[in-house]
Amino acid sequence: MPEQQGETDELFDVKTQFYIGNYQSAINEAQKLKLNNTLQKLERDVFVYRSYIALKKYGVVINEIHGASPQELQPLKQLAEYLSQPNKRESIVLKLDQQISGNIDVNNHVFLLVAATIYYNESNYETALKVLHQSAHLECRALMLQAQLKMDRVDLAKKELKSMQEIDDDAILTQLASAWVNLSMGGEKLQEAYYTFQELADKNTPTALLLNGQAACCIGQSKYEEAESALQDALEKDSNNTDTLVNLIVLSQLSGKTPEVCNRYLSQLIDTAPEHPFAVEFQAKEKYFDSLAKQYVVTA
Amino acid sequence: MLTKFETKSARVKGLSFHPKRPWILTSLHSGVIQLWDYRMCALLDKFDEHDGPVRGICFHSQQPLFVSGGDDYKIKVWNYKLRRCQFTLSGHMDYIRTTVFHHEYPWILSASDDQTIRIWNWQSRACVSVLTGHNHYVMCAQFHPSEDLIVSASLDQTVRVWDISGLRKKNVAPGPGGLDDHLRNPGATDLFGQADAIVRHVLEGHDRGVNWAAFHPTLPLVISGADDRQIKLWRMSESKAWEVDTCRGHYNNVSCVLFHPKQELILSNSEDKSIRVWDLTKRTCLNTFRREHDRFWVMAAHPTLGLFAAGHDSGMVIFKLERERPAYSLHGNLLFYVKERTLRRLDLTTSKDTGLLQLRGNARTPIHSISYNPAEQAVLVVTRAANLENSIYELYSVPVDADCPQDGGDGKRSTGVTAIWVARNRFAVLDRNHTIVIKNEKNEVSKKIQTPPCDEIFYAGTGCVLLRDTEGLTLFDIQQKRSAGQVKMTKCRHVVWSADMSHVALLGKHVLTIANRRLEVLCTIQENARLKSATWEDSGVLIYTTSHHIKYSLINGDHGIIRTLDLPVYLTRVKGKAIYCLDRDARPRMFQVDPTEYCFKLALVNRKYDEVLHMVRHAKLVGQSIIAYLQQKGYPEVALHFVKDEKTRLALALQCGNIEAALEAAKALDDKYCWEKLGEAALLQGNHQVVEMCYQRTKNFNKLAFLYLITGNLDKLRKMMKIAEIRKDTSGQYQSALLLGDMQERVKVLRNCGQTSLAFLTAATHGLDEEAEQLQQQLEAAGQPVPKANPSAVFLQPPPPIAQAESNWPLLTVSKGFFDGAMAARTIASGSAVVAEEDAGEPDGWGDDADLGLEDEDKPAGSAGDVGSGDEEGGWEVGDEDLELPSDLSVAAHGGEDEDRGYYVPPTRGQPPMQGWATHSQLVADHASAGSYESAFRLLNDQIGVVNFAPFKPLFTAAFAKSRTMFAGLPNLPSLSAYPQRNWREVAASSKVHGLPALGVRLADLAQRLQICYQLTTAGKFNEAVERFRILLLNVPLLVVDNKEEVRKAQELISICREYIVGLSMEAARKDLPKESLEDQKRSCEMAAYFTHSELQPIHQILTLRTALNLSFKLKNFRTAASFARRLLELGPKPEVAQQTRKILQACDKGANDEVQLHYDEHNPFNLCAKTYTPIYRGKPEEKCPLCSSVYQPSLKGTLCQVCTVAEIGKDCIGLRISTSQFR
Repeated sequence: MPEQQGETDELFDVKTQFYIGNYQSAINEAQKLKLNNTLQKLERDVFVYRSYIALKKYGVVINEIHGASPQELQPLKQLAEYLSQPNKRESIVLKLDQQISGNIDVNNHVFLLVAATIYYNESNYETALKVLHQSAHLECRALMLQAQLKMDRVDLAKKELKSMQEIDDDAILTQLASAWVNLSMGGEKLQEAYYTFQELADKNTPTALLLNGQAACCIGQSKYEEAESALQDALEKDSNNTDTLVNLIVLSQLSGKTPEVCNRYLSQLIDTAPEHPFAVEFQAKEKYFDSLAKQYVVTA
Repeated sequence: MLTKFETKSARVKGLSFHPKRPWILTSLHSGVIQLWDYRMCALLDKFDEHDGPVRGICFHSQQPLFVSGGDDYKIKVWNYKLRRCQFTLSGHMDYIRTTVFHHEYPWILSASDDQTIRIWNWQSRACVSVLTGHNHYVMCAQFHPSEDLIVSASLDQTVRVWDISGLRKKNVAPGPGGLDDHLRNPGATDLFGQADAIVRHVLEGHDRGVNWAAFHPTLPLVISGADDRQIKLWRMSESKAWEVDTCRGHYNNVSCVLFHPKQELILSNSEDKSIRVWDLTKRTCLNTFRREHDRFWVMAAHPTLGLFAAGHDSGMVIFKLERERPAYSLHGNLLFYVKERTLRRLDLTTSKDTGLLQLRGNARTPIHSISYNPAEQAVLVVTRAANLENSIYELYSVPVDADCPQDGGDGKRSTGVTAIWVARNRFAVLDRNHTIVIKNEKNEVSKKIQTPPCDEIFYAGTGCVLLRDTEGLTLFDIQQKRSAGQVKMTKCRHVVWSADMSHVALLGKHVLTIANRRLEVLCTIQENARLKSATWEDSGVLIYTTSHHIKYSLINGDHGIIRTLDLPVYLTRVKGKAIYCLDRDARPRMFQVDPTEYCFKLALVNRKYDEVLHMVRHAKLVGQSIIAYLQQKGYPEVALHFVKDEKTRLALALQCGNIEAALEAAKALDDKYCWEKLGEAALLQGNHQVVEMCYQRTKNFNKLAFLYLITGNLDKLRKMMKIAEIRKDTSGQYQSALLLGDMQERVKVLRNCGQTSLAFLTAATHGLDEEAEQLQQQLEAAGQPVPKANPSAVFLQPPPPIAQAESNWPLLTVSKGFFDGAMAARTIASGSAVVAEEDAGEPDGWGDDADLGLEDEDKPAGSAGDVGSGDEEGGWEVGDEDLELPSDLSVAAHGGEDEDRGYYVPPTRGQPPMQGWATHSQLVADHASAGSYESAFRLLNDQIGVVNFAPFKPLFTAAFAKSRTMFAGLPNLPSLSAYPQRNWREVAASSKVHGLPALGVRLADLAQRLQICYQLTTAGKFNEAVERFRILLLNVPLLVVDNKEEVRKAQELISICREYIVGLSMEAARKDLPKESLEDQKRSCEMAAYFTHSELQPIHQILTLRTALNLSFKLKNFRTAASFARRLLELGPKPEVAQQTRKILQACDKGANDEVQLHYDEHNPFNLCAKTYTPIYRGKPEEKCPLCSSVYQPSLKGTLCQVCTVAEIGKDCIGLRISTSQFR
């Protein structure tokens, strides 16, 4: 993080674990910390609550953050509510629209991140970028970069990455972001991305997130056996990880497995996460297929 | 100078290395000769017979002998095995300066202050020649290592070179005038022959007395050192000798000078307390090593090992000039090492050794270490200078596939003491100011790091380094800039991490420390010899070498010797029984070792008892030492199972508290001491039954009685009382009675042993009036006073036991150890496990008599290509162009004014790669992957006339599903996607190439699935087989193949599927036919006959023919049947089938007529309509399916094909397109 450069960052481990997707460890690490600085305490709480949200334990966040909680924590409650109650999403977004049309505190990066996250989830990447673009906070930049990638604008993401590297080349977010960009660029860059994931896994622990990143690199390079082992590891760590399942679907086909194997993963994915974009799109494609098929006349 | 060993003693005047063993002899001014082992650093022996200083000393190169010469004018020849002087040679008349053996002949050469040089034969123990000519003390005389020459140095300021070929001829050469003659008349002087030794050259040039002279081992050079403080180099030819140059530098008398045995160097030492190293070619002083107080007197060189010894006023020092450790780095199974300034790569799995890179620099500056980076294919090469501050490192990129070493001229060079990779694209450099600089792969400084003071850094995994200071090591996280662990250790030299980075071995000079990732010490091992290297075995055993052993250590510090070594080696890798290492000449070597011992110990530590057991049974390990080891290390329960000796068993069983085993052993031994021990142990466990048995066996009645009391076993206690009575153990009996509360018995006992008054009292007190009266009478009769019973006395009745303790004390249940089970199983004969083979059951689809044999068919399809070469026109860029946006928009506006925010226009969305797939490909598979079903449908319709798409649905959805992988970005956000492309290499290489989706099913996969279909067919599962064949068929249009050859194969696959689908469908239809009427039977026979014309695999064809044969035979259509039979025999069926067929054929040939007229003419070629199963003879109109080319009656045009179920019969199409090559 830029503001801590030069001195030891007490929250380093917490952040690292959080960003590599090891949320429970992040919470555990945070609880071990003994902090005196109230600012740091606040930052710690932010990461703890975000970890809970990532673990889908929304209740913890919704119950613990109340009116008297610090300003910085309030957005997290909003995010937890958004993610936990699909029927209230519309109203939350409406409220958010109002909030960002007013004066935004550019320094409250938690709010920016939450707002952008919600818009991102709404596939409204443009607004997400709009919210984020003023912040110099590294994670905001990373989120911008991710949104740009999602919009298939690798060119912009590359530029964003460069500016992140100028802020802090060694930060974990910069490293992860470089891996995302490299993965999206494909080609020779895949190996670089692979090494980045590998390095993070070596330094910390191989998480499903990192393993999936590696697997995606391997699949991109047609190294199916390596991908297979990475994905099996990932599956062992978290059998419900949708990314793992998607990648396994891809892999089972690319490596020439029988259709049954692929179908098994597919139904597993649709069972665990029917709302997952992949599942949604997949089912939409099936309907599309049926409607198209009807246009052709069949004479028996 | 690297000091290997130092001794303290009186002034050392002579030195001699043993050529093979690590020994050195020193002769002292005090008259003592010492024999040292310089590797063990130990004094082996002392020889003290000379009177006065001993100056000459020399080992014999083969015999266990050495020779010494002293100031007592004596030359002594010693046998160091017998540890005594063998004999003395006398003749010199003054101090003897040097004595040396000849390397070949049985000669000793001595130089003396009596101005002579003498040659002695140590076998005949006589002087064979006296060389006179010097006119002052002769300080030194040496044989030439290969020629018949002697060089001598004298205080007369000359060096003389003597030719002794005459002496050799006379003494040892065969033939006339040679040795034989000489031996026959030894007394005769050779008056007219050649003189024994003649002076060939007299080298004059020194201004003072010459102290030492020596030959070069190979070149015609002589080196000499003199009191004029100079070293002179001389060259000689046959006829003359001349001075080449003078080395000036010493500022006192030069004592000794010699040539380096291998390198172009001269070493000299002097009374100025220094040793100097000179360049032989340039005659410049390269190095000076000074001592504080001691003048140097003598020097010796080891012939092969590059070791030198120098004797001085207070002892001796053994040293070498440079490190001999080769620089190496291991990555997986690849060993990178430097040999003769070439970076080489050795693949340990294939033993392929490749020279990769020629490194810069000369041999004078050896490479200290290398650090390899597999990700960037780069290597850091560190060269240490004598002055650490001048050390440099170079960064080279390693050629990936080099057959011969390439010139690494492009290396980036900077100063630095150490350089190691710390991440994929970062390395750490310890610079001369002992600060750490992190650099990137371009050798540019990325940042400087403030660390605790350190003098060396070591690798410690990604993002970390180990810092060494005087007290220990610190694990330092570069990114967090904080230390993550510390260990105290003086002067750690090498750090070896295990492959998974969980453990580290820290090698000091003599101390080995094993620590975990956080540098918490797990164990420390002290070695006597120097630690050289270490490597981790895959299972977590450290294998390490000292200067003379290969050893192992477990992480708990359990260590031992694997084997001994002659010379130090540097371990690189251990795999199973093979230990790979580099020797000092950087030659890769491999040892086979027996890993059983450490595997055994490791298995014990990890409690993998099955492995332990396996080793015990198969590796002949068990001996007393291993049992002692087990016992000592706290595995008595394990040891117990390996021991047969009952005494040891008992001891072990008691140690681990196994009462049962101990009881068995005790029963076998039946020794009092054993029972006592067992009793104690059993008592502690509350096993009173065993305790009872022990007491019984040891006849310990008192204890037994007490045991019965406390266990409440009153019956037994009463028995004990009886036994005591029988044994006449009155006090025992009384005690039992007391414990039982048996008053009458007590009275009886007391009375019987004459304690009448006590007996009376007892009786009176307890109200046994009758007995009391009797006793009172007795007392009175005996005239004894009758004591008065205490009226308030109460009977103390021992409380009755609530329950008798039947069972032993409860113990915590311990699950039976592995060994209990395994050992028990050993006694039982191993049951024979019968694997019931599943009865496969007769396939029922084929005719009743159709035996089936499945053979391998040739696969009709080759391997499908992996990467298509999409060369189409038109373009979508991966996203390098900026679309229509102004270039500055992506740079977010900083500042945060409200106005600025209004100007921010979010970028437009780009085009996902998937969209491009459809745009740039005309292949169905690519369109399906891109999710562009509409265009895919159109293609299928145009190409192969598909109208019914439903069967394609699973294939399409699967193709779409494989189009992208997903990876998570930031938390709580939907994941990002990556799109695997089959031509990613080409796309990366050129921006003009368009990405195309990676391929799913390949032709080869389909070929494999075809085998399954064949199997189903063979098994007679027709409906399932048809389904499978159809899926296979439908897969073909979604293939992508490389070339036309593969297109052909794919089409072949289609026709195979078609033939099978048509044939099998027809066969299924035939089975469903009613069989009652003749008409039906006729039709059935016809269809069977048509089936024989399907192009099937021979094995299947045989089956169709047999069916048709049987049916037509039944119909008495003998002629047709005969033709089927002949066709069948042509295919070469199995013998039984063939035999039967021949019988039928015989029968048919008798009839040779057809009973029923079939709609079947075998001689007229026909195609079969796939729907009506009627033959369409050649030339008749027909319609075909555009996909599978199935043939139909013309009336069926426009309907759906029955075979592939997707295409419209008779539609006019361009045909299957599955390769880009079809579009060229």
